[in-house]
Amino acid sequence: MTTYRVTHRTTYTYDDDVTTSFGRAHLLPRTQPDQRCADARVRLDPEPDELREHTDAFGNRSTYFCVRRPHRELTVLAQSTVTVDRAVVPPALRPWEEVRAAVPVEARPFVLPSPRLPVQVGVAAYAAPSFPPGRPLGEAAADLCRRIHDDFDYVSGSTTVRSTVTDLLTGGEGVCQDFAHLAVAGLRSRGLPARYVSGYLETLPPPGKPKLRGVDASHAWFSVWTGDGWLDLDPTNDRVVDEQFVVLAHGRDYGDVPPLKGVIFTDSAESVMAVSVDMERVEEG
Amino acid sequence: MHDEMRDGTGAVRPLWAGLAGVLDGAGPDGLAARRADTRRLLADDGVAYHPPGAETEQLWELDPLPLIIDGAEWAGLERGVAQRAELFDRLLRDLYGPRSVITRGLLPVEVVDGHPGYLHAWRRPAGAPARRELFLSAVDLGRSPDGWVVLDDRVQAPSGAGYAMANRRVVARVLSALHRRSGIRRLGPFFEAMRTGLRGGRDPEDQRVVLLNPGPDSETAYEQALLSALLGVPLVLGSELTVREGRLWQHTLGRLDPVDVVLRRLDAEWCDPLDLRPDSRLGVPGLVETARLGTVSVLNGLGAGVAENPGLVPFLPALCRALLGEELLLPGTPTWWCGDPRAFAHVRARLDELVLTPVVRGGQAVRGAGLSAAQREDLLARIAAEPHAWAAQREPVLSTAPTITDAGAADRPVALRTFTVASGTGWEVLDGGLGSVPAGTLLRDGVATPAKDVWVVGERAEPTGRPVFGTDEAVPAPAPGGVSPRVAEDLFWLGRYSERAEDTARLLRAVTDRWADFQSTPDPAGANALRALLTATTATTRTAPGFGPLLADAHRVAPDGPAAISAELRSLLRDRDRAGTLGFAVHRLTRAAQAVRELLSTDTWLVLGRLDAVLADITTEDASDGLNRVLEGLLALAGIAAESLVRDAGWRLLDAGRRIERAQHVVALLRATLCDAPRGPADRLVVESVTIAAESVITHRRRNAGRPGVAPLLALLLTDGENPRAVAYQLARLTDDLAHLPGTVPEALDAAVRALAEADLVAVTARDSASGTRPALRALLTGLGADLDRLADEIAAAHFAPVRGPRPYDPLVAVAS
Repeated sequence: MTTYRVTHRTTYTYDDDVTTSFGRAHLLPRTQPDQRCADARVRLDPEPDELREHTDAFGNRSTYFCVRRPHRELTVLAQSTVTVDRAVVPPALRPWEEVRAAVPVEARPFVLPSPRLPVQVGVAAYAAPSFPPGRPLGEAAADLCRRIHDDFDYVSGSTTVRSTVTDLLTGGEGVCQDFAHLAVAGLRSRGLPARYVSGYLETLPPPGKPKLRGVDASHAWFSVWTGDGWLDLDPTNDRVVDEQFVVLAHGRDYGDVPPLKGVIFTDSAESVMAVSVDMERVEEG
Repeated sequence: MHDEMRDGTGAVRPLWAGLAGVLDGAGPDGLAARRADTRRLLADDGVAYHPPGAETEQLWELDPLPLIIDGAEWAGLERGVAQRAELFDRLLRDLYGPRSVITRGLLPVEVVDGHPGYLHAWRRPAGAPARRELFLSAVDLGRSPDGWVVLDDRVQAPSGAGYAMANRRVVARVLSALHRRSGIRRLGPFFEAMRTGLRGGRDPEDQRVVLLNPGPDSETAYEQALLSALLGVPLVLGSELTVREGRLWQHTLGRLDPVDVVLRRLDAEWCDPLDLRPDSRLGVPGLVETARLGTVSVLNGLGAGVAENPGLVPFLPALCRALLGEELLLPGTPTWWCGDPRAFAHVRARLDELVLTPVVRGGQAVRGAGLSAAQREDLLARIAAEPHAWAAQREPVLSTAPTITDAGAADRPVALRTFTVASGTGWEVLDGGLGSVPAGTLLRDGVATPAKDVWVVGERAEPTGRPVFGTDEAVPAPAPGGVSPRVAEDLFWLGRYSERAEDTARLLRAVTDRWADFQSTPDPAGANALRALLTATTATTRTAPGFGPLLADAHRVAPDGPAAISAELRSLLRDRDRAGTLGFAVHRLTRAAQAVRELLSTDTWLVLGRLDAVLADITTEDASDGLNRVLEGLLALAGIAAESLVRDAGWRLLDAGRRIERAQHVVALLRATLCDAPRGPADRLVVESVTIAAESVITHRRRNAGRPGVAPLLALLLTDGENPRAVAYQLARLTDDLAHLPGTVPEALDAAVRALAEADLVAVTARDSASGTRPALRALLTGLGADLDRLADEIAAAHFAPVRGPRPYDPLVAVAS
């Protein structure tokens, strides 16, 4: 069991006044069997006129805000204390075809294409080699995860939030969001339910060095239905999701769970965004 | 095949005897005449349709021969479509709530979650009360050899009820005798039921309803405006609404009014750029949030699109039994949902007999028949890649009914769109509908044309107990509350362009008269006066270089001048793409009128339609005659504005627009003609032309007989508070108009009033001894012109919608460690 204090700060700077800013955030960690969240809140500067939270269709915490004070800088600060308990990796030993043949109704929507992951050329062919007949699902998914990690280069800034899986397959480079999307689409092409997960990964400093502030980052990975539950794997780092990960939200694809999105009213032509994330371990006791 | 008019033996069915008599009696010429009457009446009523992709609106297409349905048969259809409305409302409530039809195995989850019309953002939070999901629904029906069958369900934001009313108004006149004696049920009560349903039995002040629409360029802008008038509900754009304090508000001049109900004519995905399509500029950020909070009712619910999935059709009988405990009354078109492996196998085997359609509306349907082997394989592979996204339907054979074609009356397949509305006490079905002569039956187009009126004949067997309301000419209730900034802006420009068109027409008439005189009897004074007028025309209409280059030689018109001058005159008359011309002003005037058509009387379209026709025929040779007819039309418009509009804030802005434009025109005309005017005989001619152009010739002659000269003319056109053409008069009207609007009186208006009051009209006419020009007059008029421009800007800033639109900001880019 590990407890973190997570601080996620986003600052937008504009070159002209923004008169009104409407926003939707998925910045507060969801509570689920392997993760508990206490005292989480979103704060804004300038003060918002409205700030409201609800649980969305996927069980995520969704925050609505509206700032009506003219501003040239908007800061969205999310802070939470999260305890994760992922000591045991769930087994996933059923053959993948058996899982596919018995998907429960709650998981079936996650087999379908989704707005950002329509049926795309090349995805099924890419995924196929990881799924020989009879292979246990956990092994197949881990193989797909490893292949994505090996086949593609992680290049920060190489893609945008609008990049498609086809861009990744043809360009050969991307970021965690693209890797997660490819894995999700690949699993769905085999008829398996898969979700996109948004969250954080703790960064450990090199041995002997102190941890710097702001070096953590928002992250994304995928989750696959095993027949008994959901198994989370991180293709960016080729890892099973363990206690160094904190889940924010999950959905069909990125579009369901962007950490922050919004609509502004402004004449401003340029805006600059800066993000910093800190995951600080909180000692038990 | 069933024919609506004749039975199997070819005999006319009794119901159709009257129409058959009309057809027999009319002959080919008579039918052509009915068709021409129909077009003329449609044009007079301004009934328009904007096909997707077309640049402008087109005249609505209507076949005057109605589709006639017996009241007893109608009762069955009525029960069927009302049942369907109830079924879809219950289904939607379930799908956005507990989703029990999915967990109970009545509906595959892929039919729901695999359809883009299913909006997760619309899901009700656990424990939230159910809300009305369906208010207005439409069912497209056709009569197959086996009886009536549902071709399509429209539950997103159905169009056509307003067109049904427009059709009736025209056909009732084209076939007036038959219409009167046929015992046709009225359409008006349906709109009354709709109004009652929207208001929920509350006063307009307590239950504020708006009609959200995509704007005057949308496909069915005409109908949206008509509905707004029929329902007494203001037509609003997304930019006129705003979300704050967890509620939806409408911007009206100077205040915000809370909105309780949004009747939407905007497809769901465009309604909220925050939670739905981020690139939508038509929606309201936060609308989904307010609906989730339950502070506003959006009708139909934003998630209704999922019920337009043709893949639902095979499951409706079971859903109807489960949700309503009834058998489904109206059969659907035989449909196979490819997400079901057995159905897909059937589709593979019977591809030739089926139409394959993506479940998303707007997707390209494909007829199986006639595909090559390769095309067939390609199609089947596409379906196999996402079978849940495809449905296959057997195209029904539709019944036929007589329709007027170029070759006289002919039998054509017909279809019928019915409308059902939740009135509060129950589902009310429109006693009629939007008939059509569709090109294809299952190709899921928008509105199919040509349209047909639908006559339901015979009294109801049992009284329904619903209130009977007036006549078909449903009385438009005034929309409650104020005028929105968008409407304010459009009315202001309607006023300005009306006046601009009128001023330009008068000026061009004066110029073309002088030009005709000069061409017949050229003399130096006439030439000089003509030059002055042509120069003034270019300056006043802001169309430089215009006549300028043609008049470069100070003493004569260039050899090729006459032709070039004629060409420029023609452009000034007709070129609607060039700012400053008469054609441009009339075109903009029409557009402004279309943008606020729900507020204008139907006579407006009568006048605008004629105006367009006159302008299209106008030539430079007999321009005077054409311009007189244009002026007649514009004066009629001014008359409608003066006599048929309520003196509310909207009218004040319309009038303010007209006044500013007229004042600017007079100032520009005087500046262009008098400041540099030549001395001598031409001066008199110029003065005379100016008074003609400024519509003050009679007054000028009467008052200033024997007092030629510029000072009296200036007094008449600048400071005379009694002359409705004088600048001082316009300023007085502006002062009054602005006093009736919220906010303070603009500084520019005070400045202009002061400048006029302080002007010495004799002193300013003095000429500079060296140049012969009138610098003091120029300074006065330039100052006045600047004040007026500033005044227009100040009115815009105070009352119009901000230009600023919503913009999505980039979501956070996920960055990995």
